[in-house]
Amino acid sequence: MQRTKLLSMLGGLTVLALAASCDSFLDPSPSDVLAPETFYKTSSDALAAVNGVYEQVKWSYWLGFWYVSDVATDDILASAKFGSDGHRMSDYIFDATEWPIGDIWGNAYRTINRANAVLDRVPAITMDPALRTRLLGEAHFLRALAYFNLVRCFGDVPLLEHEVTSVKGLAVSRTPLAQVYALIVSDLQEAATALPPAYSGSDVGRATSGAAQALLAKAYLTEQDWLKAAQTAGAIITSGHYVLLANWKDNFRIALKLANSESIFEINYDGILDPGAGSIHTLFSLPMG
Amino acid sequence: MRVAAIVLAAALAAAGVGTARAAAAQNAPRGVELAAAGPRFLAAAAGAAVDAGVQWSDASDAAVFRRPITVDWRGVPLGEALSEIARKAGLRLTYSAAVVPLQAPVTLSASHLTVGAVLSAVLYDAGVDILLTSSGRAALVKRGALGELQVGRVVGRVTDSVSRQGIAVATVTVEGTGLSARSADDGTYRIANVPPGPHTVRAARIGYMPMSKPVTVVADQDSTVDFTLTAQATELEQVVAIGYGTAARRELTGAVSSVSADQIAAAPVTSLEQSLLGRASGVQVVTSSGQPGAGAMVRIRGGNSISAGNDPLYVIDGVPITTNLNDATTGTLFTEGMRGLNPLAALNPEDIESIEILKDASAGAIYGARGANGVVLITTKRGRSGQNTVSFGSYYARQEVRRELPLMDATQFAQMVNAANTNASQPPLYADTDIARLGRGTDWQHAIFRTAPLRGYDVSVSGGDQNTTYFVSGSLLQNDGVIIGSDMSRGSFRFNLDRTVSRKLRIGNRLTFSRSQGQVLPSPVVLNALTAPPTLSVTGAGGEYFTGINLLTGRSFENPVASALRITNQERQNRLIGDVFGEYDLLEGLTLRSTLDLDFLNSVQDYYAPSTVLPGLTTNGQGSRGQAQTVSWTFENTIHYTRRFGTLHSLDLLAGTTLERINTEGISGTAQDFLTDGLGVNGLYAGKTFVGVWTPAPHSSLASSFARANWGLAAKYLFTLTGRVDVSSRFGRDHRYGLFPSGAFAWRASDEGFVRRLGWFDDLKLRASYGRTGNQDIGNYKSLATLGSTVYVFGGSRAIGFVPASLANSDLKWETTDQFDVGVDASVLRNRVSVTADYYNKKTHDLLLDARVPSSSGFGSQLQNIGSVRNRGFELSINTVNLTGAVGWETSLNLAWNRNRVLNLGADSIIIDPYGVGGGAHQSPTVLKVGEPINSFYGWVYDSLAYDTLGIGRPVYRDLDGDGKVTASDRTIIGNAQPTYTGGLSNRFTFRNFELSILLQWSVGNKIYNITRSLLTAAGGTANQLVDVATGGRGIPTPKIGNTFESRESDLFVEDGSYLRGKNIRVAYSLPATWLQAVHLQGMSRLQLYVSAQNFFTVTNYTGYDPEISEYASTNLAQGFDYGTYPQVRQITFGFSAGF
Repeated sequence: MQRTKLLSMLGGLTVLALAASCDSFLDPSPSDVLAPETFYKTSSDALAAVNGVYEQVKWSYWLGFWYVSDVATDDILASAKFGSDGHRMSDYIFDATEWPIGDIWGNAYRTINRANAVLDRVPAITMDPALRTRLLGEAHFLRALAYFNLVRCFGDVPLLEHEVTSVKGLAVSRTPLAQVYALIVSDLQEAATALPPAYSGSDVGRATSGAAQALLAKAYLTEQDWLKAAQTAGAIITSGHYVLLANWKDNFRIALKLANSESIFEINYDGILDPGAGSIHTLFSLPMG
Repeated sequence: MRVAAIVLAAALAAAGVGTARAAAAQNAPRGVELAAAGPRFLAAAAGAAVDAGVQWSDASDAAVFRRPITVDWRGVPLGEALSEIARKAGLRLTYSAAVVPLQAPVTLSASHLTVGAVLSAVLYDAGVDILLTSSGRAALVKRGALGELQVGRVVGRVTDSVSRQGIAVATVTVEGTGLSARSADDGTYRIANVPPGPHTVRAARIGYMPMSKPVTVVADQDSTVDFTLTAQATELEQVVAIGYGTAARRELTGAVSSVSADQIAAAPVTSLEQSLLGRASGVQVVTSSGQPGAGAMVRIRGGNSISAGNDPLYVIDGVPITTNLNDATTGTLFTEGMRGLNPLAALNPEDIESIEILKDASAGAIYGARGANGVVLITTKRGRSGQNTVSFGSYYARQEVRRELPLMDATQFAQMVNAANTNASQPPLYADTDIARLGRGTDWQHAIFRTAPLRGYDVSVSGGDQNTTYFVSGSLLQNDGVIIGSDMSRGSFRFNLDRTVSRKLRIGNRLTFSRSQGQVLPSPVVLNALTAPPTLSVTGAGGEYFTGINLLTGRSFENPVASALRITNQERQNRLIGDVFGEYDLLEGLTLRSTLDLDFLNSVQDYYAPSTVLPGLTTNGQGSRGQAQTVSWTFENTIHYTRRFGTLHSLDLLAGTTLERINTEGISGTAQDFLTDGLGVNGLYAGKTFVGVWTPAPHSSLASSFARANWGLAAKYLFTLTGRVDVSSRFGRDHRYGLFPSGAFAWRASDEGFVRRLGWFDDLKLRASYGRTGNQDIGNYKSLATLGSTVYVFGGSRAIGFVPASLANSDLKWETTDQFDVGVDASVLRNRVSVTADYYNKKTHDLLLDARVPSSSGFGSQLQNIGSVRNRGFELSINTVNLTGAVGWETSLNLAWNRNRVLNLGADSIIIDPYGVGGGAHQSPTVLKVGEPINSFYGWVYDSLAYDTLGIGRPVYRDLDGDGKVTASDRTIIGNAQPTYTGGLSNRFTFRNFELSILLQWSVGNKIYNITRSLLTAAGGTANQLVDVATGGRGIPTPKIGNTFESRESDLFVEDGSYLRGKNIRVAYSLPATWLQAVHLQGMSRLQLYVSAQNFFTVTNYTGYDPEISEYASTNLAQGFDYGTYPQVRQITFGFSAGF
């Protein structure tokens, strides 16, 4: 009898102990992966969020874009050794299932979502206001860049201005071109005022006000708004910030990358510090001679 | 019992009922108060099985004695009168002339007098008592001079037929009397107080075939009956493991297949799932490749899931073990499909006593959210008390590749290359004089294949006494692969202990530890060997492996021999699986059991490619090391109650709770660009470029409670009800709890009178079950929104970023499988033929699917519960004992048909390319389509070869949508990898000391998408090809530079993968005991020598290496692909096994 009592007591204690620890036992929070609820709290979080947007832009220009912007144009003629996909692009007989098309679309929208995440969440962070302004400016610039590539390739595209946190109610219908351009222009104007003219040290490579203006000029030009295009471009020229290099070949020297006077905005591929992301255009696009 | 009897006697005495009756019922040997000279009516107390003495109780009010009969005798002999009483009463009466005077005249006339009164009247002065047995027979027993009951004794010894040693704890019963005894350690037994006369004595023990023998018991004497039992339970007597317990096969209500230790030991398998191949209906096993340490795809009744795991749950001695390599390894190896050494290969198959496979919902529902894919229960060996045995075995096998592909030699190759160049308006590469000198060139397949040895050693010691049994074993395995640079070795140790501490408390443990090590073949070796130009030689001028520029491609040559031998691609694995348990009997039939299990898996994966071999060539050496440690513990408590109510009803109740937690910690680092290759993977710290460090730490937990009720009505109608509630950390906040109930009913028709009278069936059981199980085998955090890290370089320094990586889904829940099963188990012809057939229909809904979300969201997919899949099929299993006697022959056949169909994919009716396979142009032949099975292939349909004006042929495909162009919309389903039916046939012949067993296995109707063939018939002029390219053939284009890129997914490469395979043939000879003694090996109780061959013949139309392949075994979306897959082997084995 005593033994039974003892056992039932033990059993009861075990059940109690289990009940108490149940919630923490089943807690699914990962210990090796971040969740948005615990992130976006400090200025370094904000910086990390913006760094991530650049990374996606890196992939945007990796290969797929080259198929559309070079191979499909008269700049490149596919040789016998080029794959069938290259041939289709080169002969302009591709359809919507061709991989570079989806690549451009997906990369652009990933960039946009990341930029939207910054624009939605960073304003709430308590941090140095100057830094915050600059980071938001970078996000505006990169978002505008992505949308600009989208409208030039596809015309009317879905316009998303906020981070996507749920698939429910996702707007996927195509927004008229003019509205998208309106966002591009407002983003770039915002960026032009928010971004500094230049960076130093380990920030070199980030978007500058000149970059925002240059892209804005290009956008106006593509919209065929000649007046605004000329004005904006003119402003860049007169700013004295950019000077043509004496030898145009210097544009392609690795030692001068990011740091030459002609460079307005460059995407940085560095196979040493960022293994796996060394540009493969070194295989395709070297100048002859 | 005694108290009740005394009360009864007192009541009777007080009542003083009419007929002459016995008075108090007391222990006969202690003297009985005689109320009258008339006979007493006695019954042995039911269930009494103690040698010390028999309890007798008053049986005068037994129904049979109260039956009214009418008799009219005048001077009739007593014997006649007794038989008339017996007939009229429906009572079987036994008596002998020695006990009653059969000729004595009887005069009695009575109408509607009770049987008891009549017997009392005719036997008044006979000096006998009437003993009523539990089966309703009555025996007349002479009373001794002191009024004591005259009884005899049955004594004897129960021994094992093989070891000749006594068998302890065997139950010896005198049938019909309720008397029984348990044998002692040495096998001797003694049953006292047996009524004299003829009886049948039966000896039985679990694990042995029961035996009955007749005996005539004489009063006051010992009658000796010895039994020699053979250790082999019949199909019905078999006790099988079911979830959280065991059950007799005759009482099973679910569909359970068993594989015995003999069947496992029949072939030298390195991993236990290979022993399931062809042995159990409905269980499809496809070894993913011939690589030592490769896993196998195991599917029980078809695959249910698309995105979640499809492997069954493996439970070893009650411990559910980790088999998910995605978490348990860091994936550092340089391989295509194989993430790491097969986690099941850590277990020594020789340790296994039996494997039960729980196939239907009734059997699997008790495992709730892990039971949807079926459960494989593995029971390891235990010692047997009273027998201390030592077993030792060893084998040596030679393995070789089954076939080589017919590739071109150097001359044919050079001619083809020239033709390819000419056809592309380019100058030929080889001058005619060069071609003449080439000869056969290098046979690259020959260069990488070898005949490889396989060695195994196994020793085990087991035994014990009444209170303790133990099983200790150790084994060593060395398996060299048939491709150079691949091998596996394993050492394992096991310790199983069971101890009975007291009458109520039992404790024990199961423990196994193993260490495995394997060299995994780097992924491109087989393909490189197949496509390598035979014009290049293995070694260059200086004896070094040639890795210079391949003139045909303009890139460095990926020398397969160099890759295989120079690249380090190794995994070392330590595994510990153990459990400790305690069982306590609270009351009669009520047992409490508590178990603590631990599964510890530690895996280190090293990869290093030196700067002399691709891919290390481009980065000046690259390497990585990853280590992962998974600790999973389970704490289980169950309470079990069994009770039998008389002979009619039985009740078995089980309830329990489980807590389980799996924690993994991993670290891996990759570096490249080394000054020296000398340190290999140990020199990662000195790399000039650090690629990255990863530190995954996934974890998951599960809390559940479950219950099962088994109710048997008259042992004929069996009901089972189970339910389980699982709470898993993997599911979304809104759907944490899952309930998984099931119900089953079985009807033992052969116990029904009308079936017994038919006389056809020795055993017939019909059963039906319906239930729900779940699948929680998805990633650990899929319901949560997570952030991922990124790298970008600003101003010469790395900048880390964090970005949204996955969309949250708080609705995420488990997949649910509802399964209906109806089955028949029948035995006919005196149990010589037994048949089991099942029909099942299971539907899996709330399928976890990586649903495509619009990419404008910034995400590609989100894991959602949408979609459903159905599997319907039929299983048949027939076991026959054809011949017994001098030549023995047993056959076992199993067949299974399964139809798999996707019913719903959510918003889509088709998902193209859910899983990218292969490389180059063949990356999307996978498809999921509503109305088609999973594992379907999608592509174009080949029409013919079209020749252009220059005579160059190219394959053209059918324009299925009739729009005049061949575009992406002209693709269709071109086949699928699921077999129409699979089966196995095993025959076992015994003749004297010889034994021959043959296992055939087949799979019919499955297709294979042969990506390898597409690469070897592309005729692009840059890689070696099959000789078919020189001679021409269906769909083979004319050689031309650039062809390689035009090749597309089509039915040209979908081949029939059906095969019939002689899986195992084994001839064994057991040396006779006399011979062993003659060579002074008396200590050895058995020695068996054997020769066997595995995969000794294969009949198939498949043109690749082997039809039994699955390159991407870890996913359910890409079965049936051959992409440079390591070929299966055939082997011949020599071995022996001995026992002491």
